[in-house]
Amino acid sequence: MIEEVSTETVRERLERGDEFDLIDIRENEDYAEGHLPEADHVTIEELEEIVETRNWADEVVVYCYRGNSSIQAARLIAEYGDAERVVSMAGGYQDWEPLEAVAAD
Amino acid sequence: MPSIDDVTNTPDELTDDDAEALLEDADLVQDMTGEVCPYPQVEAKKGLQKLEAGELLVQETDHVPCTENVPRAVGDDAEAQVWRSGDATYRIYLRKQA
Repeated sequence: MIEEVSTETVRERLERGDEFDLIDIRENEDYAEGHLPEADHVTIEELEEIVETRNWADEVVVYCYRGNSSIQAARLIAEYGDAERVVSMAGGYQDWEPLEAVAAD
Repeated sequence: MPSIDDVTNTPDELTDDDAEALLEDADLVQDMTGEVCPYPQVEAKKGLQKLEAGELLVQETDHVPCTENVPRAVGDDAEAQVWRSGDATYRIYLRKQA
């Protein structure tokens, strides 16, 4: 069972400077258009190739468009990677508000 | 090599023969090849709205997570089964429920 965390939780961790891997599994063009700060772009196909060999952080947060496919991707990392905790960002990129926009409120 | 397939929880699987026979009887076929979540989920819901209870919607996909996420998205609106081609393509069979 993959735990889900909110976009707010991810935002707080980023702002605190917590150490974790943030993985964006969306399509190339969508990542290029915009992504969370410091997010690594790893498609599912790439993930299958590197999941066993990558040196994962203790904690990994995965996100996609709406928080659906990120569940399976998180399972893949939890199953084959060396991370201690792998979670999916609920709501995905759609629910993410850019840091600047929030700061401007 | 690890596969996303290994960690995707799909509904019951159809045999090749049953999958072919059902495809011929499908009331609506949606080609979702190349599409990723959430678009196929949205289209599945829209597709089922056009069907009567007992009718069959078939989605073709090459995005493995859809085989879990589409059936979950339609929930009790349809009974789901999946067929794997063995060649990285899949069909999701959704029988609309009353």
